[in-house]
Order: sequence, then structure tokens, then C-alpha cells
Amino acid sequence: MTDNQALFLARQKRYFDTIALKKTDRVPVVTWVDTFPIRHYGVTMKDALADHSILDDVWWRYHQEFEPDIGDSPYFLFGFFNISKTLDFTLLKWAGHGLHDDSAYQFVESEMMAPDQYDWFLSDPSDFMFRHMFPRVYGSLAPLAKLPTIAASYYFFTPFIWAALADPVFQDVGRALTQAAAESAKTLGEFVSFNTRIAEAGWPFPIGAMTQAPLDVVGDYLRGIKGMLVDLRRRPQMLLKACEKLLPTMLELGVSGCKQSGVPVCFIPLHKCMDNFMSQEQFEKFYWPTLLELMRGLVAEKISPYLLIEGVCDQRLPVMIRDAPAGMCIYHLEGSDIFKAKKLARDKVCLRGNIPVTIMMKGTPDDVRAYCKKLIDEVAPGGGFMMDTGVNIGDAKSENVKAMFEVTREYGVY
Amino acid sequence: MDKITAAMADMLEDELLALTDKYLADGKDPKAILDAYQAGMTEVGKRYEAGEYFVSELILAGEMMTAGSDKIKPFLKGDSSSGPAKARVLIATVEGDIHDIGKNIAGTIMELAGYEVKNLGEDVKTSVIIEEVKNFKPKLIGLSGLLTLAYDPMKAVVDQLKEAGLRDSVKVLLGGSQIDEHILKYVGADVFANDAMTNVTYLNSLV
Repeated sequence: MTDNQALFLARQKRYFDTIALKKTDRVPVVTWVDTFPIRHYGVTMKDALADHSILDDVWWRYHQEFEPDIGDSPYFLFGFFNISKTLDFTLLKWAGHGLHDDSAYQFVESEMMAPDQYDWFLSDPSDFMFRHMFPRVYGSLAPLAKLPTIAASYYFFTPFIWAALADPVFQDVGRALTQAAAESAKTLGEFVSFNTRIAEAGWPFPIGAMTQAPLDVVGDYLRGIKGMLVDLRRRPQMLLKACEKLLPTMLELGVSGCKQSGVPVCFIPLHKCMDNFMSQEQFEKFYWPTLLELMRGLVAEKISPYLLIEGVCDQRLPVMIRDAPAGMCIYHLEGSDIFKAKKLARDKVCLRGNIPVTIMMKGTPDDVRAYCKKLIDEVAPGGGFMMDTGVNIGDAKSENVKAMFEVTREYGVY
Repeated sequence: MDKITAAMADMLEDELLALTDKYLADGKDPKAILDAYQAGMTEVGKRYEAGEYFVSELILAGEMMTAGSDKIKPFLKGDSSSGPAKARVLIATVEGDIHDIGKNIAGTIMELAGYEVKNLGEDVKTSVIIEEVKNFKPKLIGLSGLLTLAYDPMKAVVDQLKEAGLRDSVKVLLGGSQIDEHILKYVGADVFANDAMTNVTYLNSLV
């Protein structure tokens, strides 16, 4: 076995043993790097996001310099950017595409599904995606809105259905799809090749797929946050039906992705879970049941749900920890009280987090060390803890990132 | 009118709008109806602060208020507001950040609480904000940003207010879920808010 293979196995064991709440040699220090390598190595956001060889280079250097306990791939998020360009995706802006050259990226959320479109979505989500969502979110696919439904296209019933495609605009659609296909296949190749390269250098990749809580899908992509939140009172039955409809699809997304990649951890960022968005009663009725089913479905396939619990969810956590499949889940807390959560989580879930991003950006290395020590003293005992920031280190000061890694390696030994 | 106030406070949207139609058809004083809406909104705010209501209720209350006002306004003869604004507020998402949802909710809630709100939009240049402070003369500027990249532009606004000799004339509030006391200190603002009602509570303490 080479040194790198041994390192890979040691890091993999540390990561998965921590999820399983087993004792490890030390606290793993794991983090989402986001745009950190781009800034840290002094390349511009615009250049890096446009040129994948730059992304490859700075991510590789990050692994070499900081020696994290798990790998990180630029393609998990940024791989989508150039693909989205080929289809004129309208919900994302990034450096050089609607944002300043130094700004990273921002998603634009809007109400894509009107209240009276629940029925269409519920009866045929794929048709809704193809003829309603695609034409609206991808500028190049706008003509798809003109197509008739294919749900009843039983051969000789619909011999003239193809005539719709005779409109010259579909030649443009065809060209855009051909470009998207080429860019998508190219980026997937780069993704696989980068992951192989860092795996061979000793870094396992932390997640195998991503999915989302059904209610978050409604809030993020379909009704928008305002629409989803008013539907809690205006259209509660429709909202519940939409979550039920989404559940098997979101489960399949996670399971198939993890099986394909061979990494049995599914990333689930929680966006609308926060304490102040809805009442605890509403949370337990609309948000949690289908998310819990999703988690159980993943666990049944021996996949660990990794929840990034954004915002402050202190009131949600007792229920979320109580119901969690024991020894299978990572709960990454952003602003919730991790010290309090530890008391409940001890034999249930692995906690991850949560150095405030504000300390990482505006604090000193001493501030970072002090916070990390407090985390190690209070959250690490007994295992089941991963050191990380609340969100990611995209805008963190380099010296603070260094301090986080150093103090955890030195002080986080069990 | 108590029924209007109660329907608003209890989030009974259909009942509220039906009552409004009925009262207007019966020739009741439209100003009194609007005041009853305001009283209901005040109660919604109180329930939010008490932890009984959530952002979902604030948004719905805003929509109910707008729907009700649209019905009532044609009946108000020349008197389209429920009195002079308590104070002026300027809000903007700072340069580099395009997020608008939180800022717009906060703006609506402040308007509903009786403040005159000017919303400069998103990705607003510091120089534009400073110009508007000179012209609009707000009591408070609400600087919004969801992303960490918003911290420096927020600081630039405060610094330029100082340079322009305007800092003492206006309070600066920072809004966003990634804002805390570290950032408040870094930016040199007066107060920060992670939710929409904090703004109103703070404003009420100023006037």
C-alpha cells in the first residue's frame, strides 16, 4: 500500500467512524471551501469560473497546502456554471455573468409555479418540468412551452405531434441542447478526473449525491419562499400533496447518485427549516414528515443523510434529533446552538460546525482558535463531531482557515 | 370595526375581505376600516414578537393588507393614507448582492407600521445611497445583504456617511441572516436585525 492509499483509508475511516459516533484518533476537520481557493491563490473569480483548468489548479493546491481530512471538488457546484451558460439559465448570476468580476455567484429565487398550477404539477411533474419550468428557467428552451403534452401520444393518435417541431425555433433549441450535452459530458469528465486525482493523492470525497427536503423544493424552485409560506394557510392540502409527490423523486435522486458515485453520504441542505419561518406545529406537519421519510429511505439503502441545517433551528432540533436514525446522520449546524444540541445528539447524530463565518472573515486567528477549542471541549467529547465553519470558508481570511486546521489537528486529539 | 381588526389579527383572509366588501357597500367610513386594518397589523406584529406568529404570517398579513387597501382606497376621497408617516426610511441591498426577499418583506412591514419607505432595490452603489440620504433625508437607512460579501459595501456606506458629515443625521441598520455583533462593530452601524420585526421595534424607539 502506498502512503497515499494509507492516508486515504485513514481519512475515510476517521470520517465514517465519526458519522457512526465511534471513537476516532482525533476530531476531523472538514469544510466546504466554496470560493476560498480562488481568492487564496489570487486568481480572479471571473477567470476561475470560466476556465476549469484554473479551478483544477487552485483546488489541487488547496489540498496540498491545508491537508483537509476530506476532499473537495470545484465541480460539485461550479461545474454547473458553464453548462448553464449553454442554455441561458436565468436563475443564476456569477462573476462576468450579471455580477462584478470579483463577486462569486448568486441564485435568484422566484415564484415559478402559480397557485393554480398545483394541479398540473401534481398530475404530471415531468410534463410540468418540460413544458413549464424548462422554458422559463432556460432562455434557450423557451420554445418548449409551445409543445403539446406527450402524455397521451399513443402512436397513431397523434401523428401530427411532430409538426410542432417544424417551427424553425426548434433548430435553435436543438443547437443549444447539443452544446449543453457536450459541455455537460466534458464537465462530468473533469469532475471524475479531479476526484480520481485527489483520491489517488489521499483524499476521499465526502458526499455522493445531493437531494432536498420536499418542502424546500416547493419553496426554492416552485412557489418561491413567499408563495410557499402563504400556502401554509391558504393551500395547506396542496402543499402537503406536493411534498408527498416530490418525496419518491427526491429519494431516488439521492439513492441513484450515491450508488453511481460509490460514496454513501447524501447532502441535504435545509433552506426553510428555520425557527422563525413557520410555527413548530407547521414544521412538524409540513416540513419534517417528508424530510424524515427521505432520510429513512436513504438509511434503508445504507446511505447517510448529511443535513446542512441553515439559519437558527434551535426549536426544531429536539424533534430532528429524536427522530433521526441513530449513528447514520450528520447534522451540520449554521447558527443553531451546537453546545445545547450536543446534549441531545450524543447517541444519535454526528454534529458538524459551526465556527461563525463572521469570526472566520473578520476575527483574528486567536478568535478562531478560542472558538475551536470551545467546540472541541464541549462538543467533541465522546466522538460524533466534525470541526467546520457554520456555512463555508468562501470569504474567510486565509490565516483564520489555517488556524482552524492547525488547532483542530493539535488540540482535537482524543 | 373590531371584527376587521380581529380577522386581520387572526389571519382570517376570506372573512376579512368579505367584511371589507360588506362595510364598504354599507357606506361605512373607509378611513375607519383602514384604521381597523392597521390595528390588526399592530396585533400581528405583537404576536410575532411574542413568538406566536412567524415570517409566514408577516408575509400573509402584508398580502391581506395590500388586498384590503386596494378595495378601500377608491372610497377614500383625497385622503389616501391613514395619517402622516411616522418617519422616513431608506432601504437598499448593498453593492454586489442581489438578494431582495428579506429586504422587501422588511420594507412592507415597516410601511404597514406607518413609516414612509423608499426602496432603492438591489446591488445599489454606495454613492447612490449617499445621494439618496441627502435628498430623501431618512431617519434610518436599512442596509440589506444575505451574503458575506455585503460586509465591506455596508462598511463603505457608513464610512462615506461620515466623510459627507451625514453620519449623525441618520441611524444605520444592517439586515440579513449572516449579520451579527461582529459585523455590526466592523461596519460601525447602529443596530442589526435578523428578522423583519426588529426594524419596526427599533424605529418605534426612535420616533
